[in-house]
Amino acid sequence: MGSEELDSELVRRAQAGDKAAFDLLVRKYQQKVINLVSRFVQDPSEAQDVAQETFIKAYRALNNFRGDSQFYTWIYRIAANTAKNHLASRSRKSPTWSVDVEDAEHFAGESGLKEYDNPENLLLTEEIKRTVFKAIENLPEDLKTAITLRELEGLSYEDIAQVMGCPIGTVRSRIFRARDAIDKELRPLLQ
Amino acid sequence: MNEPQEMLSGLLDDWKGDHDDRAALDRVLADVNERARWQRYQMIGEVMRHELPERIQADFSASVMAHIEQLDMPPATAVAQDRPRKAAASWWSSLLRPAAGLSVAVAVAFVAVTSLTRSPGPSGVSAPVVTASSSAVPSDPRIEQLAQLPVLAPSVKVSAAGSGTPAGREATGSLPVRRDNAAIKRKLNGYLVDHNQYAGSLQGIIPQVRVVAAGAQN
Repeated sequence: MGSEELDSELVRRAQAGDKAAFDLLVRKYQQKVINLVSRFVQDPSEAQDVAQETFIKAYRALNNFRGDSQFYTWIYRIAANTAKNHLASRSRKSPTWSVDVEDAEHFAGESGLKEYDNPENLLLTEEIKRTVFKAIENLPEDLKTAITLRELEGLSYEDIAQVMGCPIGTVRSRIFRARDAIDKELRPLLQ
Repeated sequence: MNEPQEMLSGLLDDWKGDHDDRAALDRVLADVNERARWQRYQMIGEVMRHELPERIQADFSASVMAHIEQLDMPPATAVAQDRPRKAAASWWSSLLRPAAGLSVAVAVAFVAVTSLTRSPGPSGVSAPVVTASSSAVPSDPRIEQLAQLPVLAPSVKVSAAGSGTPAGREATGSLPVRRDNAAIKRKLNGYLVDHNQYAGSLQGIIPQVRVVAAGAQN
């Protein structure tokens, strides 16, 4: 069992009314959804808006999700459709910038969500990357190997145990300690 | 070693769905700080794989959840389950409403017929008296208790047997019946006249005509 089964468990709980379970799904897939939307929508702040809209649409349709497909393929499909609809609406508006009464509300709403489009967010991303890579450099070799095999190579705990010649429990512990050490540096940036 | 946080780290990579995993997931879901930790652990992998977007919004999920809170939607399944129940209730009420009306009408008719048959006929022979003797009807202690109340005694003027003595309820158990035929007739006639007046006004007939007609019969 793995990530898909965890998603199914979270979806089941969210369908039963546990909003924290849906929050965890958002946290799990937000960067992937933003990356997907960014392929359609070039403007980063608009991509964030569309990604948000994607998750809100997904929540509203959650009770229709029967688990025939994986959750991530379902949310990616919603993201792609939302991005295409966004582009279509943009192309309808872009020829003229004269805004009528109805559109004014829409534009006002958009401008309210453009708070991510600022230098601070760009700097934050760079700061996060720098901090994480620096923290990895400072890790003991066994922790660095374990987290690299897991995150970059995508190996399972069993495979990492074989590669490193240690029990699975040790692998589990090493990966946790690596994350915990990096998190100590990362946390202040995100609070 | 901090075991709950190690469990959280394990959940990210190796969900087995056993009791320990579910307990760890419960802990994560119950605490927003643990969910934030989950996200940071995940972000480490995204940074290593160069999957982090150009700009990130630290409170992205909080913003999404705030929008969802504003929607404040009830689960669609709960609404769907509620609908047939309401439909069934309205079907029953539509069925019961005419039935209730009919039963009231039947009860009124029964009382009217019963009261008419109790009154003595023109020959002066009294109508059959409804009795509540202990042999016919099983005695109810509450009825017995009511019967003992002194407040009922003054209203009992004439016995069912017409002996002129106070009604011996203990002896016969019969209910008192008025025998003042002329008074009853006058009263009934008065009721009929009143009824005809109101009924006539509803049917578009001048009420006075009916009143005169009723009076002429007398």
